[in-house]
Amino acid sequence: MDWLSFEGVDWLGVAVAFVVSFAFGWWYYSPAGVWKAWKRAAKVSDADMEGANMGAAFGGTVLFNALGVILLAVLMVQLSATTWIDGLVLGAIIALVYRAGAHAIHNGFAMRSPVVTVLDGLHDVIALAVAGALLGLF
Amino acid sequence: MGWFDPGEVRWLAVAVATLAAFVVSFLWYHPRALGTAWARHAGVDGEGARAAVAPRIMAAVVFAVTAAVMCVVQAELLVVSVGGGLLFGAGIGLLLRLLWGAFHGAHEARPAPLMLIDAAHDVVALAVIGAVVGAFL
Repeated sequence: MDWLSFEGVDWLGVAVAFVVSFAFGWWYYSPAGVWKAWKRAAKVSDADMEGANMGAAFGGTVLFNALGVILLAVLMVQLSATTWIDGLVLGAIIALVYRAGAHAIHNGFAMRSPVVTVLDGLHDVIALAVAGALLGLF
Repeated sequence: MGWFDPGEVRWLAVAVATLAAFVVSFLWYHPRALGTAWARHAGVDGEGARAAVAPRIMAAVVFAVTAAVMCVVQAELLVVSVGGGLLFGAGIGLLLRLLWGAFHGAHEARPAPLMLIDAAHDVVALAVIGAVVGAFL
């Protein structure tokens, strides 16, 4: 577990990367972004959303996004991926493999619309790529 | 981008890890394991899902690409043992699958047991892939 070290992590960079990627997610899943298309493809109704625990969903979003950015920062330091382009590529690869790939498998077996997979996967790839690029700048 | 060396990919490790991840999935989603509960919460016909071909092909591609990336990253991080790979895969799975899966699932108002079954599967599968890759590096 030598790779799990926080030495060298720029916490200001983590904070900026988290805020920007979170803000991107906020916009992405808003009515100005892909919200309507995503809701239609995911077959989520207003009643479903009212029944969902949105407080937990929001809190989880903040926490999980932050942990994801911290993990990316740790990996960038340990891999000596120090430039913004390194961070952009590493963030995109990690999101593509570990996040979008999982969406594709689980949504496929559950017979959900491929549109959901594309929209969620695209969000994850852009969010982590942007976070990585910003971490590289710091 | 010196950290990304495709020459570190061990193709035999990729093949074995992909097969191992498939075995994990087969056992995990077997009707006698969590398959019945998964189908109920997902609202799909379990037999139909198990017989579907396209998701299997997609799973094979994703497992193989994941194993290849794990080769590159683990080699660079010197995670070159079975135990180390197991912990690395599980850690990545926990942070990037279990937690982020919960994030997407919660927004979609998916049942909690469904999110847990899928995400825990990914943690175990990634741990197995990491262990296999660690054994070959």
